Amino acid sequence: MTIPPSASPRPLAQPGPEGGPTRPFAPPTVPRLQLAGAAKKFGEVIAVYPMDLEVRAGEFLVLLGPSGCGKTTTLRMLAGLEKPSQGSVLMDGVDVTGMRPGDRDMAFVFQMFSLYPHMTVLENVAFPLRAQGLPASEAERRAADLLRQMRLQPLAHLRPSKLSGGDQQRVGLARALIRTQLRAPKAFLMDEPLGTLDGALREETRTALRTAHNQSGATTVFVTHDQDEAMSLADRIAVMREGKILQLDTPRAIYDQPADLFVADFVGSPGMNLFPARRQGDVAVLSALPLTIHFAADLDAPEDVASRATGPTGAVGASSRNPGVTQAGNSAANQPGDQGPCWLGVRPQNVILSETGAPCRVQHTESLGSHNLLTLRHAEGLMKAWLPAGVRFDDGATVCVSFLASGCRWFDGVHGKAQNWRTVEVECRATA
Amino acid sequence: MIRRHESVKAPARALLLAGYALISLAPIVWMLITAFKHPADTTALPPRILPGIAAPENSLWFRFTLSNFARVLSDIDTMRFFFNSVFVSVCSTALSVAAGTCAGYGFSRFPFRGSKHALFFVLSTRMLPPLALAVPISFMYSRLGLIDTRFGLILLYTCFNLSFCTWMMKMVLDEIPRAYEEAAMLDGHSRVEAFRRVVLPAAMPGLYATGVFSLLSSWNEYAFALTLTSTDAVTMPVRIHAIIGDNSITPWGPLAAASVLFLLPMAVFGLVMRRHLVRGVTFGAVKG
Amino acid sequence: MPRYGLNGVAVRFQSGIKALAGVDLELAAGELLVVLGVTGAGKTTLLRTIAGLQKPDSGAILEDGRDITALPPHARDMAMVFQNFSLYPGLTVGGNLAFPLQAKALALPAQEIQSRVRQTAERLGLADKLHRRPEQLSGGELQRVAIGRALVRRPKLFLFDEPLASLDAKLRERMVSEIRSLQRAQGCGMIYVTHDHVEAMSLADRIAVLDQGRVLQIGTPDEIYRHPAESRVARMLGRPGINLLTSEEAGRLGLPLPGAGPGAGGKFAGIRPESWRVTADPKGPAVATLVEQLGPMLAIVLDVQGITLRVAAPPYLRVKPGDRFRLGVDPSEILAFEK
Repeated sequence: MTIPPSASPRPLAQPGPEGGPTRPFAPPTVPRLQLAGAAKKFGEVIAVYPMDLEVRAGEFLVLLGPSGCGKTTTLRMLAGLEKPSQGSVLMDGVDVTGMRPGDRDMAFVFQMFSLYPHMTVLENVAFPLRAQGLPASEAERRAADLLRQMRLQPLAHLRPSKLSGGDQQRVGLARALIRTQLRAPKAFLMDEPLGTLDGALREETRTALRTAHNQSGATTVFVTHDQDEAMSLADRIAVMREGKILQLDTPRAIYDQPADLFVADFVGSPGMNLFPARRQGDVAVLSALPLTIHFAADLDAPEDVASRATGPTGAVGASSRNPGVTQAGNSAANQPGDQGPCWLGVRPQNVILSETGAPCRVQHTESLGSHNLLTLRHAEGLMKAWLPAGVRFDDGATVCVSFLASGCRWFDGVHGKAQNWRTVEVECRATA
Repeated sequence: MIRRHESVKAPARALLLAGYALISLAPIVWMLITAFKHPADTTALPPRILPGIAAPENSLWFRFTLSNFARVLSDIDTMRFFFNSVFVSVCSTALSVAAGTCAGYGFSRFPFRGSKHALFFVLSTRMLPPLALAVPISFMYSRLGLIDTRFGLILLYTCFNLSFCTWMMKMVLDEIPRAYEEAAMLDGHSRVEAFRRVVLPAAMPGLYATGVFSLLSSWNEYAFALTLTSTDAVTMPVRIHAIIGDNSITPWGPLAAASVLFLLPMAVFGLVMRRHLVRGVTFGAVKG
Repeated sequence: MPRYGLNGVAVRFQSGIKALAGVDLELAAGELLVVLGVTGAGKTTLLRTIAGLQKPDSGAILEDGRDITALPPHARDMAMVFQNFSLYPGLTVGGNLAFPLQAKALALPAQEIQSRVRQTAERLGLADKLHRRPEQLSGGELQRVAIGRALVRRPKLFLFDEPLASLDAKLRERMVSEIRSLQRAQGCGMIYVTHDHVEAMSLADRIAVLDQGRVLQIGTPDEIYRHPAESRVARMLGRPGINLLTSEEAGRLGLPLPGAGPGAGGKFAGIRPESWRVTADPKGPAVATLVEQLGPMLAIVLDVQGITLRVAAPPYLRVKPGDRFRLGVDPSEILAFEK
């Protein structure tokens, strides 16, 4: 690429006092990648439906989803390892669909790395630099630097066969990352490269990976099924399921405003607590817990009303069986879409214990160190709540729970799509 | 682009393969034709290759006859020797595969200090040329009264095939995860039960392949059969050779008929086992 | 249900590697003990030794005080779920579940086998899949059948060897609570091996931390998290991980080392990310380099004078890389480690 062999590695980003972005600069040569209506079929099976996806220049994008959701196929289409059945792949707006993977100047990092068995760890890591004409001493010095950064230096003089699986994987990752120091590839495409690492190592390697990205600024697409990993690495996450992207946004937005029920449940560990509810004008009533939730009077933006006007016919029928409930409603509440089944989603940290809340049986308290996770049984199943460390309840005890109004998220009862209804109050109905 | 290359390559490849098939199948075709030829047509030049009733001068027609087979099949000795071949090969194969499976399992699951050397030693018994052993073995056999007995041949073939079977089965069993039988043992099955119910079914394809190779090598064995048998335990390879040696003029017809009979069981067996065989040979590839 | 005990169990492989170097463990009746350790710590060898698949070079395994070290695996009445093996490919789900009941020693009538298989399948929600073959099942279903195979015989002890390692993160989360409730319902002891600290903490009655064939510490999840015996244990639990500072680094940050007098507090100071009090301050010494949203907290990686610190902040804080902070910590929350 563009950086001459004599160039020293880029300095670590020093953020200014006013707190600008950490990345010093995305080199102008870092590409923007795009899928334009790209789809992939394997025989009769559709792995990826026609998809538009833009990976911005210098961005760290994570494709997140359960196994079989098409995330690896999407990545392989970007890499050129898989030819789309239809649609095209663009790089900086130029169609590269027919270009061979080797000509795209991308580094592909596989789930399983293969190291050269006849070389030591140091030689393995230095190899990509040697291959680009750097003298041995310089290549090994830089390799040793990187190994130190990744806490691998004690292994430098061992052969791969002497390493554990996790160490082999980290060495493989180091070998891929060292390319950023010289003639960096324009983009990194990674397929679950941390897949087999254990606990603390995994976290450290993750941090090393993100730091390396901050330094190199190379466009990166990273595939994983682990939402923790996605949340901590990504600039943006694309949540995938059954060959489609459900939501593409920043980790924070995906966490706070999941686009549908699947994302709500999949992202977060544990995922959102989901409760079926029935909306009656400006209140919603839960069946699992004796809670009634009040919406703001101006809860519906006009376009929402329009989009839901064609909503579930079953909802209208159901509400007609409860006449009179909505008598106090405002004008918005009289829209047909405001009646009927919907879902309430609440993150476990937004479940609060409150004397005025609804009673629940404690199933179990788990100590997870920094916090305790409480599992509660309600009329229709289980829910989770985060507690401060050290707070625990006996199994079988009764506690009263409520929800933070600001933490309530709403989804329609038919398609499970997010609704931007604003909650103002969570109220406990008197129990018989 | 790859497509276009292939479209050019495909006919060329087919041609090459056809040529190769022609060359490699020619002797077998020749043998088949000869088995049905009237004795007078067997050595005619140019060769007569089309079956007919009469054989005009310088034509490609030969006189079709079953008399060669009749002659071979009515020869009590040949039939007896044919049975010898079947009996000896089947018995020695069964024994060597059974013993080899046990030994292979042992090597695969219970490695001991020096087990690699032992395994190599097992194979090294295969490295001596049979003829080098023929003299000491026939000396031993004559002292033991095993000369010209079917039991003697079975014993010898079993010993010879055992090394191959052990190696082959060790490799087959190495491919089967230990967890298979360990899970079964924890389930309450004894090791023998676990072996029979879990390991063996999984090893079946490899076992078939091993059996086929072992059977073929016993079936075709000539050198020992020649030195260790005379009248009772003679096998077909020796008999076929004897047909050549009996007369001053080689009786090509009966010779070919006997050869066809000799070939037939293995061909049928091979066809029957083909499915298992392919699975066995590619065992490592289809696992998981 | 019996108690189990391990007395100085040591295993050395032919290659000379010491897989277990004298392990002592006690398992109370009906207890769920999680063995936590990184790859190569000897966890699997420990399980295999208890199961009888691996003969210890020294030491004894006791069941209610009775030495069972010499007992073959099939006579121990334990059930194991393996990491890399789930089902016999040639058998249906029903066949796989029935397999443990068909052992000659049990001599169960076919009817009894049938009804037990049905019961177990129903319990695991597999009743309609009894005739499926393993290759027709999803990953989660496969693992459920594998667990079913362990349940069906009603053994005295469950041994689980990272049964969820190959599953998706989300599925793993669900299976953990399923396993826990099954074990509670069955009431028999379980030894569960994992490298995942969340799995360990959410499952365990007690955790045994294993490293290089040695048990470093045994205790309830809380005890181990709050009072780790040494830095290796501290590092293994909690995400984001504990901050381990050398005494020199701690000095540079102006942190008091616990214990009296200079140098008496040990070699390392350990501070959990949630122990830090973080205050936004444009003139503060700590600069955020990475920010991660981790459920109930915000994990921030800070750089203070070249020292990298991991800090947990409340989830509602808006932090971006480059923001500056002041840090404080309650001295009582600083852990001191000799090693």
